[in-house]
Amino acid sequence: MSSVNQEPAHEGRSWLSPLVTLGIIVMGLAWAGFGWWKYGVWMHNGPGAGFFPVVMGLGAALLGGYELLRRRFETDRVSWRNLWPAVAMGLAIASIPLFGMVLAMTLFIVLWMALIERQSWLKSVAIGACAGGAIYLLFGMWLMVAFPEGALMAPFT
Amino acid sequence: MTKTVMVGKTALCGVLCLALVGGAHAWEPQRNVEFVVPYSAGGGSDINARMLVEAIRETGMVNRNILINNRPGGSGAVGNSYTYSKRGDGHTITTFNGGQMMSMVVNDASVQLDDLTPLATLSLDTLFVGVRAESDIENLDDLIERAEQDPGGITVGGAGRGGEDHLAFAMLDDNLGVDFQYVPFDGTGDVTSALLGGHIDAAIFKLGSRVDQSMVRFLATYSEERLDAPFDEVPTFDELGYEGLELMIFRGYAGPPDMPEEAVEFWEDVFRAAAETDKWTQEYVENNGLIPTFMGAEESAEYYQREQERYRALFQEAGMID
Amino acid sequence: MDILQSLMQGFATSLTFSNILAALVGAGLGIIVGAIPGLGSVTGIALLLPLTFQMDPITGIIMLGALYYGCMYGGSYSAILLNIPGDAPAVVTSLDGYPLSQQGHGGKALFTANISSFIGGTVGIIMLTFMGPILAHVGLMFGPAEVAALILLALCSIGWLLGDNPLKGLISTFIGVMLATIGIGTAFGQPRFTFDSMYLLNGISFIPLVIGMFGFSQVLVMMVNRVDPSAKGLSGRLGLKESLLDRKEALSILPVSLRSGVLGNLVGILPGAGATTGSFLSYVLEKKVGRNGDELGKGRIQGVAASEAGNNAAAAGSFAPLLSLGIPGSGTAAVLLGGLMMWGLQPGPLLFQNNPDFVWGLISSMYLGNVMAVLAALAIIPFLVKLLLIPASIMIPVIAVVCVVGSYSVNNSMFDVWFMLGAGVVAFFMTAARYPIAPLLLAFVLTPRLETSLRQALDISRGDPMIFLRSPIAATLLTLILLFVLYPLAKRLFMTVRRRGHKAAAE
Repeated sequence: MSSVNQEPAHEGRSWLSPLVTLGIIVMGLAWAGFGWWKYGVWMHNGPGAGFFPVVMGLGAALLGGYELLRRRFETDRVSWRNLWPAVAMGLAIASIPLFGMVLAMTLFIVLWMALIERQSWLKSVAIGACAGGAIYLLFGMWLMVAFPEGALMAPFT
Repeated sequence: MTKTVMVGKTALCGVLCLALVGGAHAWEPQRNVEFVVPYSAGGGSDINARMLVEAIRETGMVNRNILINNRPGGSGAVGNSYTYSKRGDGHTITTFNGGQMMSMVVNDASVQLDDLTPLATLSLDTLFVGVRAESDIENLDDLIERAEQDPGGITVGGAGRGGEDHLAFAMLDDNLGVDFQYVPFDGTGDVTSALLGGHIDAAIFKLGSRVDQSMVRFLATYSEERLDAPFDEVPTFDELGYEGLELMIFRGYAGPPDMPEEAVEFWEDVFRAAAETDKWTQEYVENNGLIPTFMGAEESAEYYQREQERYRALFQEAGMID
Repeated sequence: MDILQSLMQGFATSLTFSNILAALVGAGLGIIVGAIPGLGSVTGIALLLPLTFQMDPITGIIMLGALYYGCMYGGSYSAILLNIPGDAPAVVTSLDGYPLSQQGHGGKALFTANISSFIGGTVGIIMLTFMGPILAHVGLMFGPAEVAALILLALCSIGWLLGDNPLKGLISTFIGVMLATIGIGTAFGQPRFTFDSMYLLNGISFIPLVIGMFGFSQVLVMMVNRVDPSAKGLSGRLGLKESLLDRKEALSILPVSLRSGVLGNLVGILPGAGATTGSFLSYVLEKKVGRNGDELGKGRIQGVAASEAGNNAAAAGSFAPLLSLGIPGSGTAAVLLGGLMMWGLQPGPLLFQNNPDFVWGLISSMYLGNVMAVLAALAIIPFLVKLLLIPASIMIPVIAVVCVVGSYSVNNSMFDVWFMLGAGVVAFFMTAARYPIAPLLLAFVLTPRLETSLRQALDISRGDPMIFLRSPIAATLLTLILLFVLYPLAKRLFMTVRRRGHKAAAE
């Protein structure tokens, strides 16, 4: 429960909380709908496959509705900067088929440190190489995890 | 014209045979081999694969590394699709067993038997129906009698839905002329607990799960013939007068679609040699209570095809697929 | 006395130089494997198993047992230091462990985790030694109806953890249950919410979910809320001396560890209840009976102690049905069962009679493995805490990469990697909107078992719900739920609503 750990609440943009709650209500209704019409709430001898989805979905939707009506939208401060790691990592993951797992992750560390954290290139490359090497040795060599190999690397293997 | 071709073919064949005797193959791995296991590390298929790799190493026939690649998910479908994506590659092999094929049938998976190249079958497993050792159900007739008195009230536990145990149950339910209630559990361990605790009346067990006979009384086996000791006292269904209750679960290996013929031959020979090592026969097959066998690529393909049709028919009869 | 004698003989078998070496190597490897998010004891043992076939069975099992213990120790590290629980029980450890390390007490949290693991594990092993077969038979009394009632109790106890905002906590719990219904469960055998994707057919994988929801969302938070370690004066507080527990602290975690050890061990023996239920119920017990119970969840070493002791004792407990009945009580025990068979041993009631050397060697090796693991762990803590000094500019990219590699390694699946990323973003927004994540994950872990057991019980009783009341164990557990869990929760919700009503009226 990381919310407990954070610094005293910043009352940030209040649209976020109702939006998340709205998302939960939609999910709850979807679960309840599928459970009710598709999976079946009751079978000949007790709860059916739709029972939990319907009960929990309706429960989440109703409580979420109440939460919206309460209109107490405390939210932690959130900025677009928070999402940068997700976007950058998304790009890095998308490049795995090209570079392979180890190289893509190494590149991510190097580029992130140099471009976003504004560290020196030397430091960035050094840390990236250490991390990449550690991943390769630990996961690739010792634990023999079958990492995807990149298309660009294929000629060399 | 025809004659010369014939002669040519014979000559070619002779050359090939010589090559085989000499130990060299028309195809040999040029890089590391990927051994796909469509289940998690530590499971039955995984241990099977890891032991086979050890046995192959002992034969010394593969001079490249064989790397296990666990691709669990979708009851085997994720691993099967991965193997399928390696079309035409001789460097990818996968475990292929009866349960894996059953889930293809039951889940109507996108990759089916026809999409893979069977290579060999090295061992067979079979099943039992059993009750608690202290139970007053002494034999199969007692069990049937109970079910006649209480139709649908006698509970039979098994591991999972749509797998080996469930299929064995469906055969029981169809062929004994009485109704039982199937209770699926997450694994053989949970089934055994429930049986010993008296929460269910009977249970399906695989031979390979090595359940101790001091705890469970086996009423009948699904094998085609009587098993070796310590199970030689357990009658087959056939002996008890119930036909059609035979189920052997194969444990085989396959490759991706369109695997080069030379590679198929190579792997067939490797598997044959590995099946004869002590490592395999004793440490794996015997210790796991399996039945040793060998079927080559062609024989396996035919066998799997027959089994697949049988599974489909049985699951249809049980109402589990349309 | 007979047992003590056998145990001594077991020690005589296991205490050779090569066995102690094997235990040390196993413990060290286990700590590394356990500390890496995404790899747990099942993977570790599966990887090491083929190697041990070359060894003498007793040496082999000692190495595996030590590896198992090492994993349990290592699993708490990433939970405490990075808020990335490596396995399900560690989710509970992170509830207090991560706040502690944020407050600069990472060293104390790690020491507490290891010492209470040791105490809990030892309690578990002692119970296994002297009462193993009896406990295993008690475990058999838990059929589907009883297990369903127990899991329901655990699920309802999540109510205790809901901090200042019980309503949002409850919604999170419901979401966890909903996510758990994805896939083909054993309970019904029909695919739910899979949208014809084979990747969802067996449900969402827990480890990528937890790595995303805890670890990656943490990275997103760190992006803005940067804590510069040097500015916070952390460096002065991370020496060895500051990491050790003082007398008072050590005394305060002792009763917690003992209580949790006993409870965790009992839960661990039950078929399929597992270490998560063990550590979680221990934590809830501590919250109820502990002296500072109310403060659990805000960074108290007692919380870490309860979770870790419960978890290790449960692990020892899962060996009782394996050794005395041949029934694996956990995923790891199932892999070990495979190992036993490879050595040509038949697990079951006769194992004690036919292979006493092996059984008692194994049991004594658990003591040995536990000692080796705690020694190895204590030796590396001073280095581990230094990780907290690494500045955010390096931590952010490196943790992000660890999240990706860890979630890939569980199933070798790129789908899991994308899923982890998505779960991280979703959890970040949920956290920002003050929806707690831990109840979601706990509900996710517990639900499948509840659904399966409920269905099994009703299949057995032909739909008669009385099966839950006729069984004395199930009936007792259900009464407990009514008494201790639902009543206060209802009262609390009622009070919140009424207070709000008053406030609204006053305005």
